[in-house]
Amino acid sequence: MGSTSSGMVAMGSQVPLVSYLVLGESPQLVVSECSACGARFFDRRVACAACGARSFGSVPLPTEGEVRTFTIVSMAAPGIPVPFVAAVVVCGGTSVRANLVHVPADPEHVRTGMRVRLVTVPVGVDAAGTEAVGFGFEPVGTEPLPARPGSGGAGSGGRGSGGAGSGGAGSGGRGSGGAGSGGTGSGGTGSGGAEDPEAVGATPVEVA
Amino acid sequence: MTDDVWILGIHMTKFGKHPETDTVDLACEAALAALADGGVTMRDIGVMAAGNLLGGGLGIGQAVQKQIGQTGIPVYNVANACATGATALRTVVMAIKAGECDLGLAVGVEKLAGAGLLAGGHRAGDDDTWTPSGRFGAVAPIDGRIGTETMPGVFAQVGLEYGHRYGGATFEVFARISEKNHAHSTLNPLAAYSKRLTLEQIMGDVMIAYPNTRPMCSANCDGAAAAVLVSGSRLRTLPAEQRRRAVKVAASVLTTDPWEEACQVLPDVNTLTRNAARQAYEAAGVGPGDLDLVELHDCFATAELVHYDNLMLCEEGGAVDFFASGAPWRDGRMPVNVSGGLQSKGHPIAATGIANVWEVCHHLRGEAGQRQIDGARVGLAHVIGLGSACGVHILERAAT
Repeated sequence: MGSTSSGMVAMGSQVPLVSYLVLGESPQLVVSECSACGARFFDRRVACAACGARSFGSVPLPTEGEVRTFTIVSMAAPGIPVPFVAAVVVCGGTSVRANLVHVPADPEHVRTGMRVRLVTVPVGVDAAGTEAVGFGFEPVGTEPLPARPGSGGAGSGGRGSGGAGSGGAGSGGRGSGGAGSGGTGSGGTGSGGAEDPEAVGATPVEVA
Repeated sequence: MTDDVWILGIHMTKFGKHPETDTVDLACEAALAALADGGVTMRDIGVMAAGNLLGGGLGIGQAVQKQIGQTGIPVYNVANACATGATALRTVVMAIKAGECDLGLAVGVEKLAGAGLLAGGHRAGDDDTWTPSGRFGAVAPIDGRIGTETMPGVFAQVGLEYGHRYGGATFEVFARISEKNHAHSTLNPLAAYSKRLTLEQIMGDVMIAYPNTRPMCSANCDGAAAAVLVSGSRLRTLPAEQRRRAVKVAASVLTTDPWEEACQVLPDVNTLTRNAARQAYEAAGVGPGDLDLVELHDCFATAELVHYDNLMLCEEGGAVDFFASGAPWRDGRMPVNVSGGLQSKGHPIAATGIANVWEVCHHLRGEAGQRQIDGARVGLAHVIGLGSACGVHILERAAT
């Protein structure tokens, strides 16, 4: 997986997965910046969503940043390898959506606040021999970061995290009438089994 | 001075699986029951707003009319993602406030039982030739290659971002929020699921998008809800029993997200919710401390945490402590999602923004049975649809 850009492909040419990824000696992400207010965007623009101005310049982002938030996706559309780490990385004040790569997809190895850097990753080669190249962010340095419970929700350490105990941390509250203990459940949401489980909130929105 | 608007009749169907009932039937069931609850008929209704996102048909409003009464009134078919029901409700509120009519009907319906991921559940294959297309000039689908489009994954990031800013938001905290809502649902006979789950069951269930396991995600199900709204002047002409059960719409607010850095990278569900809450409290002349119960949009356990803060139920940054205090449990100081919330009551998306108002009304009328919040006078219902749209309604019991 994900070796860096250079080298891998000898024949044919390369195209970036998205137009804001600029390939070359030192691959970079290049954003559109509103000439009037400085708001930054990754997509093809009509006007500035912040101020309405219609002129934009191009600005390369720093290739190092910090993970502001992440998730480890275990259920995705068929064809998408899971689990993978989806994240928001802040590069010089600009937030970037990206996958984290070259790091185990578990909460012991990923946490908010970790330093990461841009790398390119191969997407595939088309019928004409052209390689598509995507990007991700990998941890900076070799430090396998110790899990730090409490920060960024890297609950890691394990489940019930002992202490707090199931019954009921806070307040008298709890009991709430309900059907007593926990028992029944069998496997959680159970019943709905194959059908209802995976939920989901809103309708599609963003999308390329 | 515009007139007040009141809920005269309201109904929510059983949420769950309705294999024998189609979308129109479900919507009609809710609409007819809301009309009956309000003591009126389609002949009395001057405007209608209706929402259905995934039924595939055109004009759910007209389809309902064709079954229960074609009276020639205007219909507004609305769509605002998960805020669709609230949008239908607010559309009727606006029509009545504008003086166009005295009585209106809002309906939301969805059939989702058995649906999987609603966004990011399918990704097109790669083409034979890389050709840039779309607003990012992408040569191939980007879901899974540049982050995730799945809702559990988006809202997981929303929750962990809150934890990054303020600390303390562990997997276990989110799971405990889910534990609360599943416990609450055991008292709600209309909930899609009403099974209490232990913390261990919740944390040990199938992981969907860390830290959201399956029971921490909203439950896809079938359901509908409808409301009849009336102007204050018309209400005063109605019999005492109808006036007694009427619930005042003290605030009806809809917002979208103002531009902020990062809002087009990861949806910012915070700013527009905070804006809506602020406007609603001001319009209603109440503060968070006046609320007797809150139904908020817990599409995922990670979302509920941030909305404690966004709705100002706690100090800024204090959502984890607020939850740990026991406040949002049904016998806590600020009961949240006593219906069981979207995680167990269920989330038939276009119905949700009316169903949560129904839940609050039920308590304000003193008709919530064994899950009644005693003496409830004021409640708040919140929804958010990604894109984004946020609806907040504040409801008040009629003075007696």
